[in-house]
Amino acid sequence: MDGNIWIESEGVGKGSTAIFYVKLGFPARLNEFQLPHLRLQSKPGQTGFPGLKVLVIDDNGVSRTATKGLLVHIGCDVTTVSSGEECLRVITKDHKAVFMDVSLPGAESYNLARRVHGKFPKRHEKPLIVALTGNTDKSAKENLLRVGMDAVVVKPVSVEKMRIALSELLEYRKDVHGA
Amino acid sequence: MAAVSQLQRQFVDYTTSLYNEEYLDDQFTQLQKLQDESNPDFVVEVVSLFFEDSEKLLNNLATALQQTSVDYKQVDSHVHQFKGSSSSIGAKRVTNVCVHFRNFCEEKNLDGCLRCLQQVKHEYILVRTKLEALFRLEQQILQAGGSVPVME
Repeated sequence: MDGNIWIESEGVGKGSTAIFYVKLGFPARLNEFQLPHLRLQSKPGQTGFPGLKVLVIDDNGVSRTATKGLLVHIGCDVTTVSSGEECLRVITKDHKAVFMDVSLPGAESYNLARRVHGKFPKRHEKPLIVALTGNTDKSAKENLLRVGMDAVVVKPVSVEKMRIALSELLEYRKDVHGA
Repeated sequence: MAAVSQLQRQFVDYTTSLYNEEYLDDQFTQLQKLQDESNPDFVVEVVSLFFEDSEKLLNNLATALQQTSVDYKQVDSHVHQFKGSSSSIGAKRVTNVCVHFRNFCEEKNLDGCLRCLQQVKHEYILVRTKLEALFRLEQQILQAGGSVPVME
């Protein structure tokens, strides 16, 4: 729970005090993007993300180019790959977010989230992982969150939707990872 | 200039009809919003990619459905790609046919698949023709010194 525990004592026979500090959050509230929130979004989101380094994984060339165009338009520095293997070769700790089209073949997208997290054991180095899906099924979205995605965004994605999602994700990251 | 405003009116009318007849949907508008000074040919580039991709997919689909023993998983995988790329550019009618096509793949219904292949080819050719006409109109407006109207 991100806290500390320690024991204090004045000596033998004088008793001990156990002290716990824990960080607790408000109950998770899933918004439109199926993103757990620790506090209500009360200030306007960012409209641009100058130089934010992100990675896009999509095995469909047309879709990959459209997603890249959208992220470049809002200021991101975008790397694109077409497979999970390529993603793991190319990704660095400078990539702050990974946009994963989850129609990648088989269970690739599910395993990929776990492998990306595994590559960056240090919390503040972990990129946010955003699933992009055409599937509006609630249970499908919940599955994606369960396997390690930080957020699910339903396609088609407008410029506004992406701005809001990225804005909220970066706020969430600050809350949870402190960076 | 009369010529420019006439071309611009033509452009607006033509684009409106494409949306009304569901050849295109809002995703195409979203692509147009991404076009700017630093990316002036973005829409043409993405749509050209779609054309190239589609020709390959249609060939692959025809080949896959001609096999003695049809591999429906393979067929479905091609249709899935086609669905993804068509929805990425807002080619709504093509996407709609792909949805039905996938259902027939799941049912391993060869007749259904063959009918869908014809339909998807037909819809693709239609949307390609219309987009090429739209891009030609844009060029005419620009060459006449006008600016291309922004559709909301």
